[in-house]
Amino acid sequence: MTAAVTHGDVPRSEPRRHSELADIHHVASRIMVYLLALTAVSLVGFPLFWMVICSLKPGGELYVVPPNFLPQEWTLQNYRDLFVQTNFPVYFLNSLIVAGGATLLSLVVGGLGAYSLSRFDFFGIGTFSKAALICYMLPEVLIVLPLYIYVVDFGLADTLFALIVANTAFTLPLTLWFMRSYYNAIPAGLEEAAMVDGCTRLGAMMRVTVPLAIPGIVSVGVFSFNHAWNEFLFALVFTSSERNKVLPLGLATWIGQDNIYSWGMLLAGAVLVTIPVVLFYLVVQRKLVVGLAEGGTKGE
Amino acid sequence: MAEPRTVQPGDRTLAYVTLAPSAAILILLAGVPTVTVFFTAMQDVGMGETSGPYVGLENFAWALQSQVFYKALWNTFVWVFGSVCAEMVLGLGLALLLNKTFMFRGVARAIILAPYLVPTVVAVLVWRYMFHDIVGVLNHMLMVVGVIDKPLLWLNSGTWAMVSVIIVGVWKFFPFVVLALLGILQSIPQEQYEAARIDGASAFQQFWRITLPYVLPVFILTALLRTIWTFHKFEIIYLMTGGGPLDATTTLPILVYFKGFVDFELGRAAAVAILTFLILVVLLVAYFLLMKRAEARQ
Amino acid sequence: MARVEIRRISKVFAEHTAVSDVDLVVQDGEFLVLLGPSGCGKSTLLRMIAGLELPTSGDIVIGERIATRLQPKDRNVAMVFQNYALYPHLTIYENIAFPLRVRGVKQKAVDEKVRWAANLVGIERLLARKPRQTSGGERQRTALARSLVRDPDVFLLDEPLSNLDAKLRHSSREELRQFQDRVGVTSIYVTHDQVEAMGLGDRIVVMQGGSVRQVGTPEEIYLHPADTFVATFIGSPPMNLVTTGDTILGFRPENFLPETNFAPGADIMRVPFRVQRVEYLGGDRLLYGTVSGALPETSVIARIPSSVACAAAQGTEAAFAIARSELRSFSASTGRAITHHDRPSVRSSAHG
Repeated sequence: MTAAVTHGDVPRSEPRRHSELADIHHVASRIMVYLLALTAVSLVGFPLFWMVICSLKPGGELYVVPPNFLPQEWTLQNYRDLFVQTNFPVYFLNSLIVAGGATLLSLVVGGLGAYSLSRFDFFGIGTFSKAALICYMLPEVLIVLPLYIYVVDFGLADTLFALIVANTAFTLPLTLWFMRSYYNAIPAGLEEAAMVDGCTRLGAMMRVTVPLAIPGIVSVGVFSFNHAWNEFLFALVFTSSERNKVLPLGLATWIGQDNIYSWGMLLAGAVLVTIPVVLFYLVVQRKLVVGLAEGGTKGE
Repeated sequence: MAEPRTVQPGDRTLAYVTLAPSAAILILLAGVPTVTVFFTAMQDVGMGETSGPYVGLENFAWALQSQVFYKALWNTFVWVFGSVCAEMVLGLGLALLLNKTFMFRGVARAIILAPYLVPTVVAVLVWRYMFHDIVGVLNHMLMVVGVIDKPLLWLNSGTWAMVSVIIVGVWKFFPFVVLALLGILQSIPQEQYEAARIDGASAFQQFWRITLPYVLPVFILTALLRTIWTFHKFEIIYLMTGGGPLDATTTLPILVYFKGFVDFELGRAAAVAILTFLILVVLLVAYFLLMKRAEARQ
Repeated sequence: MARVEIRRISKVFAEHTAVSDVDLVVQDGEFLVLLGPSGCGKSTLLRMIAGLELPTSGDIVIGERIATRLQPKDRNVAMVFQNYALYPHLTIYENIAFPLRVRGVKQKAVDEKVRWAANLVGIERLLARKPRQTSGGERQRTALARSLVRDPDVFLLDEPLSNLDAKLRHSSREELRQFQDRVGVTSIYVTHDQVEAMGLGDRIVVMQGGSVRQVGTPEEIYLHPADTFVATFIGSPPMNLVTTGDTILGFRPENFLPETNFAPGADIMRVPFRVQRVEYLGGDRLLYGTVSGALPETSVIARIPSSVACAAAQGTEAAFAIARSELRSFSASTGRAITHHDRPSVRSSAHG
């Protein structure tokens, strides 16, 4: 029958309104979550906050005991000193060259190679993929010794070229592995449609697959750049002269001195070194969830 | 694998052409060096040289009999165990937190992941400034709160140096654990929790019976990866304490560096490096065997 | 076993209103179907009954208790999800046992109940398997068994058949209904498939845009739709609607027959019908064409059983008619049904 039933005891008055806040358990757990989040963010973020804040204090204020929380005097003096008194700009440029070079090399070589790893199965391509992964897992301390011997024997000591190539040893396997799984997710059917439409395999790859893979290329490019930008051991071992130092090495040489003549400049340098990384992070942040569980646990 | 259903003429050539450069680079930069280092380890390499006369396994014998090596081994275990445990616990906690919805969650997530992105040099730099016994803000805050009454010599005392180094390592790398665990947490279908709620499970039971089984495989894998990577970490300790004071924080990678590029004994450095690698391989193999046995028993 | 009252329930989100002032009573032991297109609010309503969503206003009464603010676990309801929500790391046995284990039931009692439930749905031999080792139909039955073990007062089912292929869906529908008849638990079933709804429900609640358009038995809804939405949503092909002035006339394709089919003195409305296309479907024939004459030119469909002779062929104009008792009228402005003075009583309940 119809459903316009009235309930004997309650005539058609206003229906009761409900709010989630009326439940004490709900409110309590919400408060807990916000408290925990606030604590975590404060503790984890403090060093970075401290780095930026202190870089804006004049040199002397950094040695005050007890330290001031906020600068008594806000200044950009440290940044100015950094560019004027040190080789910071040189280091920055060198880092760009090395990181950019390694990334470019890996993307081109690895981006193309990964396509074949994904689509083909000839002559042991499968084993090659696994071997590439193992290369990424090799410890730096193991590789640095023989690579150093190469560098010296080939007369490449103290060159940026040596650094670019050495960094590729790690950025290339990363690119291969990452792009391969990215290509795997692009259906082969699209290339087949392109080939039916008249492309060669190469044409289909360049016109269809690669454009679709651009988000993946950007992501892995950022990862590679980040890896090379922060790389330290190879730089320490392969380069020595001031004009060839990259940023991590440049900053590190100052730290090593027990009596640090200017924490201010150092902190300013630190801030500047971090900025490109942060920018890149903002670019790829959505994809920054490490997919380790691929195929593992989705048992449905 | 996205295998195409058809094989075109010219596919083989394409495969060759696209893979040859990668293969060449990897063989040159990873394959050959791995082999070379074994040879180097069996040579007596003098200062300024890159090779020397063959001395068989003498370098290995030296390492296995030297106090320096065993101290470095011990330090490495303390460093790895301390760091990885802290990272996994912290990482799991924060992943669970970030899995809940709350206002400004995106901002919180960005800040919590930030240490992972910051270059290691920068991280060390900032923390060294904070750890400084006189002007460092850490001592100041601890004294204000009343935990200690005089400044701690963070970087200059034997025990505290290792603690400081672990703190920095954990701060820098725990976000990797957060990312990995958050990935799996977010892939658990909401419906499973809803079904459990209707069936009567409490919040704890939901965590124990639904969340944990999903998370466990990823948790173990992540712990494994972090162990491997932490075992070989060089920069953090080198830049924080240089291996000191004395050899309080000298781990195996630091030892390799000192032997190779400070003492200029490349042969011995290579031997230590290989031993380090082998020790890790042995540990991993032992781990996998144990896992296999545990699974077989189930 | 319980009666469920839905008293003036609304759910308002920031951007839109999902459910608007719904008022229903589900009788004890009844199989009620909530039917509507996607986005009509039926799933949200179901979730509010389950306790997964808090209503913005209104109350839910289960049995004699006001359940509106109760946690799902305290309402003694069971729910079968569209994707079954089986726990992938547990065996079928453990999946079914889950609600009991969570309540700390002893092993012996657990075993009894699990085997009883598995037997009832016919999956006894699958108990040692994991969900990924079973078929879609088997998983669906597992979800059903899991709901059974707790002796719930109400069964809630959220499109449980939509993940099955067509053939399986049909046989599952049969089994589901037989199962509910046997067990006799009050059931509320959500679907967008009107054939399913008609086949399963004791009563059907047709929803659209958050409100209830009509509540009734399948017959009532089919024969006397409350508005044009219900008229066109139910029935395949849908009811023909022709707008004449401020009234919309409606007639079902199976009532639109050649004039010769009717007895000489019958009270019919004659309608010339120009046939444009004939579809032969085996048991029936569908004739697509346009009407004219007293009605404005409109495309309509006629359905003629193949057992009835029909000379109308493609491209011809034929004399068709509708029995006046089968004609329905709707207001052109509101879409609601207009009742005829020659019909016994009002048959509509449209909200909003």
